[in-house]
Amino acid sequence: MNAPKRLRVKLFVDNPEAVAVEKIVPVFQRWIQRGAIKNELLIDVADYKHVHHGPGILLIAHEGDYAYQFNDGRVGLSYTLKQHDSATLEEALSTALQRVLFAAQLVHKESQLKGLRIALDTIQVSLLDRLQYPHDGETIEQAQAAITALLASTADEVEVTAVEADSREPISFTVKSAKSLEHLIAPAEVNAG
Amino acid sequence: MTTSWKDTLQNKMASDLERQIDIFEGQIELRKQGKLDEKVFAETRLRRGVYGQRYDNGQRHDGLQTRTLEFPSGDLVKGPDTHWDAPGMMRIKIPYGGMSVDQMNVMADLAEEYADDILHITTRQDIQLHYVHIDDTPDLMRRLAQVGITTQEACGNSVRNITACHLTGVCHDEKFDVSPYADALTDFLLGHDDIQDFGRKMKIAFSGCEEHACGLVKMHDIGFLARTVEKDGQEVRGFTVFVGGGLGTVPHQAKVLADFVAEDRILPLAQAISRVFARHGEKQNRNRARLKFLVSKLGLEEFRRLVMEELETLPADDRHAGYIDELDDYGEEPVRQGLTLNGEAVDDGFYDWYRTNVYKQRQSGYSTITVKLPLGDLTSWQMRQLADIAEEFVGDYVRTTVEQNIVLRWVSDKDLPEVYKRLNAVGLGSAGANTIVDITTCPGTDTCKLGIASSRGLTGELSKRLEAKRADLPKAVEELKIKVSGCFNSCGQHHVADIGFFGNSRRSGNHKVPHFQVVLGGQWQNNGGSYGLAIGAVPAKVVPDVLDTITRTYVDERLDDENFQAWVERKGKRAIKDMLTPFMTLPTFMEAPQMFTDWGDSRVYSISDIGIGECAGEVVSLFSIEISKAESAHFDALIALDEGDYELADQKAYQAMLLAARALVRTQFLDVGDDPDNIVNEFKTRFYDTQLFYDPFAKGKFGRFLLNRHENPPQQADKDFAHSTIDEAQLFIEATHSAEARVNGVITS
Repeated sequence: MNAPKRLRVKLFVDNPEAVAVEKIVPVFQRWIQRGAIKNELLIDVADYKHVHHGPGILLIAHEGDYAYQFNDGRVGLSYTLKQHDSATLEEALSTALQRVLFAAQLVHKESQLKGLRIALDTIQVSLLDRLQYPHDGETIEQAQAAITALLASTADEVEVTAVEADSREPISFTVKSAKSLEHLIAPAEVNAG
Repeated sequence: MTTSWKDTLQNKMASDLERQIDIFEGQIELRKQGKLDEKVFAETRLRRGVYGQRYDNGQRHDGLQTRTLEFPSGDLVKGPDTHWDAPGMMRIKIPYGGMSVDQMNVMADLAEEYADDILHITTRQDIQLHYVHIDDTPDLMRRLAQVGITTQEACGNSVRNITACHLTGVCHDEKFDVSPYADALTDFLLGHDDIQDFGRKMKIAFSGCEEHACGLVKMHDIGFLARTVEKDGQEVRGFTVFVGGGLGTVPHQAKVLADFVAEDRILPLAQAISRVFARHGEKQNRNRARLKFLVSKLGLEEFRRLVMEELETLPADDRHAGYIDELDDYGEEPVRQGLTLNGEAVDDGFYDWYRTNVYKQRQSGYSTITVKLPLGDLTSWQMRQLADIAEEFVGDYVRTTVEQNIVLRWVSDKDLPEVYKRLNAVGLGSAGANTIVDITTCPGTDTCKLGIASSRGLTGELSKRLEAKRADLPKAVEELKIKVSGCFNSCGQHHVADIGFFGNSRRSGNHKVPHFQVVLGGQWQNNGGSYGLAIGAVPAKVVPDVLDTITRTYVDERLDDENFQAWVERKGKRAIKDMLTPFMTLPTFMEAPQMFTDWGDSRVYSISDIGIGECAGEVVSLFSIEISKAESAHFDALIALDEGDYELADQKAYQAMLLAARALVRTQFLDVGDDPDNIVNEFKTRFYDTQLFYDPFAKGKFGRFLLNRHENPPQQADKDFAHSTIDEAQLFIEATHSAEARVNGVITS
């Protein structure tokens, strides 16, 4: 399948109570100062913590946005792939997964966020492209197959489930893996192209 | 199969909007190819609501140093010093704040697919999306146009979104509902020839009544205040018309241009004012280019004389009063019967919310409820949920407000508990609307290129602290209004708040410290009836303490029912300044490093990376704007030729020549109109026959390209013919540039 215009992957935080959301802003600002993520142009930090179930704290980059976010009422670390040359859904998803897993590694190394645990066995994938990925059964089925094909070296290692939602919402899938996702996709600071 | 929004939505929007968007897409391509001047492109994109955003100059101070942001687009810019790949802002015009359920759903999708999942309500009832890439804007516009929304003239030197009181039509005190008038004026002025040559923007508002804040007509370039008079025993509708108001650095109260203008004369009056503004307004010095300066310079009497003179010479236009016949059809039909709230079970917090967020309409059994939005923000998901609530309980009667909230009109009183429950479930049921906790703020340093201090950061902090003690606030304090701007340009409307703040900075040693100027005693009521007094600047980090001091002293000292404005006036500027002086002391960086950061930002404060604002638009001549349309048409012709559509290619090339000729004619004769015969006739008379169009070497050759093509349209255009017309159009456009330069004395080299 063609790569969607935008694609979001989200890892979930096991224990959001461990760290106040205010602590994320200086961490993201430091990532910009240090150039902590290579091959991406980190631009700015946007603070939406005041918005209910919102994007939380965003690290805006040219290629994509990192977020410590609250969508669906679940705290997580997400990456939204925006500018990319990926031809296929599989390529785009692979890039986004590598990036979010790399960001998770950075979070786990942050002394200011000590104790915060990001689960690496579950991920939510959202396809933000209503033109190519309308919310209908056929598209969901095809996308599910493509995602499964990318992630499942054996069929019983990952389970890809479509998230039931209002048809106006973007198509989303929950991916559960028996192993850490890092075993399937190596975290990396990859180029989008 | 890959498809596009352009193909998918073809013929599913108004044809003029479709054409405008196609033109803009062509201009994007021209700019990328270096064939469209950056200033001209900047003004054309601004006029389509495509705005710049902070750091698009490629500079950002990261707290340690100012670093260059290496955008992949390299040297390609979308305006002076504005990198192509830098995220930008898209402003969506919502005339008088009115939104339908379909429109809400589409805007939710757009925020998710092109922005950061946030819809931001502005103080002009617009909706803004941030972090948008310019390449996405044509599709974004198409999807909006599909549901009847345009971004045309949302920015730039044009007529901005026309605002109106969100309660008009349901208010107890108004003379009549001003919505259809705001609607008619919006339609009439959109893209109108007479608003294309302004030196700055123009803001227009409608109010239904005088005493409330309503449409804030007294702070607008043009304000229409509903009024009725009796004539021959009949009530006649019309408006008191104000001109020359405005906030900005130098606020002006509007003056009464006409005490009563009948309802069928307001469109031509607005047109005449626009013409006077275009003709006599400042064009070079953007700081003096708003209408308020022209009214001030000429004096109200002379300005009025010029407007009346212009009125008499306006070409006849059926649209001037065409909408009057449809006024009787205008009205809102609630989807639910208006029933009294009578013992229904309610959730916790309902009565608190009811007290602050519910307005009883003049129509029995109905209320308008305010959905209070923190910092004017809501997510795509929330917008969809709100659309669902609207669809079920009120239909399409949803409006944005100038205080950055959303209202649902026509809620049956009986449904209020259920609506509250539903709003609460999606995080939109906060109480305290229209009170001190409901603070208005501009984007400030978060995203605005002009921001000096973090207005949103400060607002977030003040809101949090005030919310925590809201239940214990004295009524006199609860009723106060706070408005915050990130700089002196007043987008947060700090002049018309009881307590206003605007960002600035001061130096301490080698560091800058973010500050806010304290402005006290402005009046929100009476349509923004008076402006506050600037008292002094305090460091950003002490503003919450300053606010506590002001409100506590006010409560302690106020006499009986003395309001805040009266207390400020009685206490006097000197005494208030004395009260704030202890807060103005600046520590050194070593003493208090936290003072050297702004609210919501961990970086050491700096404004070394500040950009140049785009509010003013680019000062580009009318000719430059118009000739760019010709160049776009020529580009379209090339595309059509490539695609083998020779008829269309020929048509577009011919249209390019017509547009170029029109651009030239309009430097002398504004009212040439769109009729090809008129354009060619005027071109021939004014420029061809007089030889003004003549090239020193080719003489009249290029001019004849248009005359010949106009006189002799092809029976059928084949590839060679189309190619030839395109070549001729290119030469004609070049000749038009040269002629304009010669005629207007511009030296080119």
